[in-house]
Amino acid sequence: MKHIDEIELEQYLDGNVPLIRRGLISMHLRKCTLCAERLEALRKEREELLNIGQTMVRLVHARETVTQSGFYNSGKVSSGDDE
Amino acid sequence: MGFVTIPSMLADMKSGDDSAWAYFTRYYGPLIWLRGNDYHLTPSEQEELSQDVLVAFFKAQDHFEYKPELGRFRDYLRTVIKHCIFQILRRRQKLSSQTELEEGIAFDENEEARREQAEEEEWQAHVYSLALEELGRELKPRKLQAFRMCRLENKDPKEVAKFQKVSLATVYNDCNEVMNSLREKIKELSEA
Repeated sequence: MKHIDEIELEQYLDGNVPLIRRGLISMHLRKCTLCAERLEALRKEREELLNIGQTMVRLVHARETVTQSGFYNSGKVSSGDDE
Repeated sequence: MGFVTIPSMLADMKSGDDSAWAYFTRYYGPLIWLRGNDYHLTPSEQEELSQDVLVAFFKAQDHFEYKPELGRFRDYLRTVIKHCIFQILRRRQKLSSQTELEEGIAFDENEEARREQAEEEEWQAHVYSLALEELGRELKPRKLQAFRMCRLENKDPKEVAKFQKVSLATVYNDCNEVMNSLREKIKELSEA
């Protein structure tokens, strides 16, 4: 069996592969270290992306707060030396 | 304004380019705010912090030269922000010296470790946001939407396919295309 492409590994992770194909992939993964490692890497990448997604919500909130507050809209930056 | 590398942003800031300052405040302002929030600054102190950091950059621009081999921009920015926060806290607490305050703040090691962890995650999310924004100029909105929903919001690809009125295979192809482009973009941004 050829190596499994990334899209199919993603579908496999989600359980979106037809039953017979799923069995073949599972068998392949038991024998092929390369594909098993790629699957593990995809799983880790997904976890990381979910964390990033949650942090992005915080970042978006901060961006909205900063924009609404107008902290940076008060004109040009001055060194404050002339104050 | 599209993606700007850190060296060119700093060079443009140095030459007094307003759009570079606007870029800086747009992309780094939220990170500054989050750091201030971590130290429980009040809204007026947050305002002070945002201005203090800008002023620090403004003052440093004549003698500051970005040399990636000497250190990352994010570390420099972190140092500037922390310095400004300590000054604000010092003013607030009326402490006599910076050293005492720094020791006081760093005393809670767990809290400090948590802050650093949050800072790391926020920087990573910041880089991904930049990359996705940049990809928004190159890829179809549908593809990015599928990626956001499936990978960042953990939605079921079947539901996304239904929502977008496309096949499940299309959702997987779109997510894969965005992910591959994103990996490239992240690499570019990390090297920029």
